[in-house]
Amino acid sequence: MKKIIVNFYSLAGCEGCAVQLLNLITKRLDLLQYIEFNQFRLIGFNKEVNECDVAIIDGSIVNRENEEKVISIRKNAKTLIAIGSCATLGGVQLATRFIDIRKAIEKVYGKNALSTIRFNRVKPINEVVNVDYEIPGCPVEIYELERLLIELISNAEFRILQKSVCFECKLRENACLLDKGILCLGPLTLGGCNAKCPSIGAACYGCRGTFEDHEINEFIKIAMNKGFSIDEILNKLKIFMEEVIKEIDNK
Amino acid sequence: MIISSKELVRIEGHGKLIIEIENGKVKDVKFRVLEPPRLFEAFLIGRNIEEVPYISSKICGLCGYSHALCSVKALEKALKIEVPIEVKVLREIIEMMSVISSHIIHIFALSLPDFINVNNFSELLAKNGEIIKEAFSLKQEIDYLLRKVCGDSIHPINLIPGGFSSKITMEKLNELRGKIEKWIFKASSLANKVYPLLKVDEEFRRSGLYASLISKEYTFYIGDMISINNEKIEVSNFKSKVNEKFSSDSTSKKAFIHGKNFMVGALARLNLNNDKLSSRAKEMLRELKLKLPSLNPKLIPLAQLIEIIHCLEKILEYLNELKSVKYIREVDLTTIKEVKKKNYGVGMAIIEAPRGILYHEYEIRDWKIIRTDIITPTVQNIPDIESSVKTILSQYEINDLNKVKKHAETIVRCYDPCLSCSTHVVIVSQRHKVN
Repeated sequence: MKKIIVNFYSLAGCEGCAVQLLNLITKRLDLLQYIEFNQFRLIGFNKEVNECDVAIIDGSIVNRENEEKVISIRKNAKTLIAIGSCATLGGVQLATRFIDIRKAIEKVYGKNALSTIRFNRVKPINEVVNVDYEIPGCPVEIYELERLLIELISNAEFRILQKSVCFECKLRENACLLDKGILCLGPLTLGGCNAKCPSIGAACYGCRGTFEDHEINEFIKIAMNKGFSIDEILNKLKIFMEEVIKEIDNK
Repeated sequence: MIISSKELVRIEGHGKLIIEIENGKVKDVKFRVLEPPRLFEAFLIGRNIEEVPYISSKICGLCGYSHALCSVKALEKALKIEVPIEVKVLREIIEMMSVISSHIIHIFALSLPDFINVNNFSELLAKNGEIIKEAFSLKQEIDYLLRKVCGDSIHPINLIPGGFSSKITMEKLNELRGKIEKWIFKASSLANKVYPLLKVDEEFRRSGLYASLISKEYTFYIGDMISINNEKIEVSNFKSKVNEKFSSDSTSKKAFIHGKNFMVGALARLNLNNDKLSSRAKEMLRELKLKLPSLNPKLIPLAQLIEIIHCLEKILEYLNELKSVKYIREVDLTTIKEVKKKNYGVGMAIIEAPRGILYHEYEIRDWKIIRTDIITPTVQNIPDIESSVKTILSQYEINDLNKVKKHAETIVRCYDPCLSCSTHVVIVSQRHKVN
């Protein structure tokens, strides 16, 4: 069987998803019979060949350099996969869309730094090129990465079921955090993480983005009924869910 | 002549080494960080206090636990919250587990290839497969336990000011104890197999500064005092000792103590705390015949190996101390928020991240962040990396450039630099100075 050639690239992010890929490989060493890495810098693969069967990207685009790199990755890869919240949604740094970046850099570094610190607008990969598969999550779940790689090896189709974190949370019979006065985005967020945050008493921040049938206006109504202010709600949406803010009715 | 490496492999993040050679001698060494910025400090301003541990852990995928723990420690000071001793002990345990996990990646996947002359993970598996499998099965176990206690092995979920957002049951602590106990013997025999591979024959003498958090124990979390060589200073005076400089050729700053470079991390900790090692770790140190204090960066992986053994033994000891506690109760943040919502305060904390001293400082008002300052281990280590590469290379005849490059890269990797961390906090302190 011919091995699949994989190139792994990291853009602006914490490399936690790269660590998850390493975690997967060390757990499933047999995968290396089917996959060959040309590039995976963290663990020493550095072959100067850009053409590959599958390119995997973690991290988001923050400047033109990143953007050009992504375009070239796309050209050279038959299949392009974006993993983690940064690559699929923009990541926590998406919150910089709500601050004046020029001003922030200028204030901090002085005017000269505007040419050296290259930071424009945070973008997920799909804003610049066509992406074949996306697995959101901060960090990416090992089991989903595993399933995707196995399906690529066997030419099957990979899909994430469209259900919410809230649904998974109810299956685990957790008490609802919204009732406890904790602003949880579980009702909006795509499941697949087995509701790991609310299950441990912490709010869902929406790191996997929204699921298809989410109802933002309904959610806001319910949250406001439970005593949360619209500012609080918007503030939380600004971490991972900027996209959904546009869907809010201005009533 | 200038030799410049390509983007370095087997380090966390994007970085480059530039070596300037004049008349066959090394004139200057620069370590350039190329990691794209993410401006954490800018979007942390205005955030609610309880969101900070969650967000700050996203600075790093290797030491996310350290950022979260350091931020809760600092925020508790700003809020003037006292936490129960069992919470502190459990956080110490958690930090040690995350140190083990990070050290395993560094020793076995990033640094070991240099010592046994292979390039990548596949070659490593082909040459020393059994050792690698054993090491990563320990990592899997530690990651499993971190997930059990904190929800995720990369970014902890339930760490909040005051304690944990979920109840930590005796059942969980017992599972922890059972698994760690099983691993102590296995890890010691693994270490015995690894240390001959990491042994450093050449003598390398270098004097200079080194710093770590100190306490009654070989500490990673508990404590508010640091030691620089043997001079002790309070955490609150850390910034009066350490100053940072920014250079435009890099996306990271560099930290100095009175203008001098200094070392932080496993070897610095070992230099200052070796009398407090656990019994097996002490035994290992004796067998290795390391002359301490040392500033030879090539000994860092060995120091990390000793720390893994030490941490496993200490975790078990601390878990036994926790036996009298039935469970660790969850914190009701809404009540704390109700009492403290109008507070103003400044809090600063240091913990030992896998790569060394991590400093977080927050100024808060009305339950919101109004100023942050974060100084990461790698920002502190970069000048020391440059200095030791320069010193070591100056002992060699420069005739084979490839050999020079390989040697220099090995040293950089020994330090285990974490460039995601070093970059994302670049601006934080700058902002502070401007204000």
